[in-house]
Amino acid sequence: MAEVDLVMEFSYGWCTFTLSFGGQSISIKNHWANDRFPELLRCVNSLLDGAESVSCRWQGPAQEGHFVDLVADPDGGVSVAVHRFPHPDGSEFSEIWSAERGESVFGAHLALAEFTVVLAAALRRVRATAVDASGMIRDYPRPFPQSEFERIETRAARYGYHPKSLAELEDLSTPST
Amino acid sequence: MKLAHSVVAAGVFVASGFLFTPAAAEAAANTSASACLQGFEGPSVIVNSYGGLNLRCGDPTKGILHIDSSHPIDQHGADDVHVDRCMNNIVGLGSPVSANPGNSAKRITRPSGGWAQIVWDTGTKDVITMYTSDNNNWAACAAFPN
Repeated sequence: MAEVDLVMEFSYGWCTFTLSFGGQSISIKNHWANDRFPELLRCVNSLLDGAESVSCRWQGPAQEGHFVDLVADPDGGVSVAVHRFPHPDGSEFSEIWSAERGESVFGAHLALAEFTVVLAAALRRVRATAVDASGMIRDYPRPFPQSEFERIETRAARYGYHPKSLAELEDLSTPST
Repeated sequence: MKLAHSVVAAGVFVASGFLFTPAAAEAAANTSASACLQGFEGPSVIVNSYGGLNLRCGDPTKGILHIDSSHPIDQHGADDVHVDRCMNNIVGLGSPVSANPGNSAKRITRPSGGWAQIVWDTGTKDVITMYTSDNNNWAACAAFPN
């Protein structure tokens, strides 16, 4: 089975979501002014609650962006698709918030359990390394969606996920002698 | 430099009682994009004001520092005038672009087809970001509509 990797990085007001699977990889950027990070987590939780398909927009500061679509199958799998917005130069509400899909830029099918575990680990890393004491994400002036994260982590635990400590995440564990 | 200007402006106010205008105060607060990028100014210092909007040095999430992170501005001053004029052109001559609640946006489209856009916080009137469609072409944006 191909290995999946999900990474969330926050820098200079952007959340960059990198999806890698089966030799393909894509990074899509969401600007804090159109913060859709909590929406992505809500989408995943909806899927884990039994929804068959969910969709999340992932937008820049104005009109450019991507759709992330997730479809669960009866066999415990999940299909992931990323499409560009259909009107990258749009200026009207009907263009920018169009439900149409543009060019397909990523597609994968994997076990929902694997997807959930890998996403939980990615979110745990963000929570441990990119969120300040007040709960705000550094360099991204929005609060970390703690409750949605905890729901995903709880579900992932049923699939065998074990959260890493801060020391493990930062590779600070003392080397054995 | 900014402090010296402020002192002069305040002195004019004290001496005349009439000559200190909001425009003079705004000019006294101005700095350049390159000064922001070189760390000479704080986040609230205004780089350019036009149409009621303020472009500030900012921080990683808004203003000059944020713009530069994705749409590089020359740190040595080559883009200073272009950035200011670009903002003036978009704000003064641009058409509204639909924006997320809480934000507003405008855009100019050059005859050649390239465009430049600005996004600001509707409440604070502070510029969040500004960029062009053609690889940070600040000079072309400044020269609009040519």
